[in-house]
Amino acid sequence: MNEVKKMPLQEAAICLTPSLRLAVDQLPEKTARAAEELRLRVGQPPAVSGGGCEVPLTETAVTAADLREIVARAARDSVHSYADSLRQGFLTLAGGHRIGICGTAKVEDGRFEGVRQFASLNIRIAKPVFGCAREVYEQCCRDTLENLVVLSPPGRGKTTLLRDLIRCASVSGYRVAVADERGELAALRDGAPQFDLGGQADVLELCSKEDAVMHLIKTMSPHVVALDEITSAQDAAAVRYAANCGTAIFATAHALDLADFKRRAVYQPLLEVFKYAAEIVLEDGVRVCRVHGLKEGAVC
Amino acid sequence: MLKLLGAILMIGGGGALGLAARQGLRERITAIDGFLKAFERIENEIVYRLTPCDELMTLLAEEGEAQIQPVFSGIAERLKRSDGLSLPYKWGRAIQEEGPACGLKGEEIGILCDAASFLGRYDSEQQRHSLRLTQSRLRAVREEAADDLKNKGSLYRTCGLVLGVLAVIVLL
Repeated sequence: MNEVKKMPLQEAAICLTPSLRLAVDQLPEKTARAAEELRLRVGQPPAVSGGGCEVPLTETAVTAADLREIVARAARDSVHSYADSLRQGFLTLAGGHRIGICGTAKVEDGRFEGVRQFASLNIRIAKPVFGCAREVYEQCCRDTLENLVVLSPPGRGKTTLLRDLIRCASVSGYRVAVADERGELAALRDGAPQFDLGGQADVLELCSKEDAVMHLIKTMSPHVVALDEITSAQDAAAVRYAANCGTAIFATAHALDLADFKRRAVYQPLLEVFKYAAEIVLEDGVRVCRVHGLKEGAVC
Repeated sequence: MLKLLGAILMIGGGGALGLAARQGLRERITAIDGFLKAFERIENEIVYRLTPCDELMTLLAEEGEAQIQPVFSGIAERLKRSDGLSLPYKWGRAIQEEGPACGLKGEEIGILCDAASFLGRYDSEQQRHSLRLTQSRLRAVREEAADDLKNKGSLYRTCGLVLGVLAVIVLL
């Protein structure tokens, strides 16, 4: 018998309490398809957000016990086994969906060690877009892998594009080393990436980019290193280190546009590194990717 | 000759009843000891190896004390089913269904069911504290059970034999 493919929302809702799951199942299909997040706040009714609006899921307010139960279910009743991930304030579900956790922080020796008392959860529904980077990949890496940075403000789909770039390179036979500091690119669960990254991707997650890049280059001999969100001087140093080792680099960076990227001090050392910049812009509400050459000889 | 054989059988039967009652007390202590050891293992696995609970239950079902293995097998079996029921529910059901056959009595069954309220639901340090509390509660019950065995064990055996002798006297 063929298994009915679940919608991403239903897949993400697997960790909810039975009553909330029932409410999710009863959502109109249009709302369910457009859903991007499930918001659960203690004392407030649960809500589904997507397409810029938030719709209440039920009238019953969420309790702290509900949140504890949801986190336990998401961690397969083994919260202790996900300590590293929880220390970063999130949990990854099967399918790559992610639960962000807020509440009373647990601080030890001045360091954030996770959330002790849960106050709200944000279940982000993962929707990989297969083939979204195909054109960019073919444009920039037609003959050989080149250094490429994806630029956009938050929420435009940089990570989704980078993930598909990784998949494109990986299925083309290149070994891709993924320095997944926030665990968003691969969303490893029990060692298995929850997103399709092709068969040639090696992932090191929840590790600083600087350490991850050094480790991956030394141990995995990759053709290309992928890094999400270059935000600090250390991240930029990691990119330069990888470039000096002769591997190609796929990365993303927060910037309004290419001019903004060139203007920011933290990215200055990288202008010589990247050959291409793929800028994600909104045109009539639709995301469009434009590739710019940053070096001589870059064909766009 | 027939009367003698009957008398022996009656005294033996009475004695066996007494011994069975004594054995029940002994089994209770062995079961509690088994759980105390299991909780030590659970603590070590959770704190040092971060072992997931389903894996942990399977481990205890295979390597735990023989007398209480059915309880952990019951939990492990239930955890394998993706029926949406929570660990506390599955743990509680298994303890209540399999526990009495392993020699557990109401008091320790209650303590063990309480353990489900924290198991797998908090970080390892918080679980360690709760596990230790459960262990100390179990130890207190074990002491009571040991006193029962000491005080009532011989009494049950003697009562059984006396019951047999009395029945023989009455019937003769």
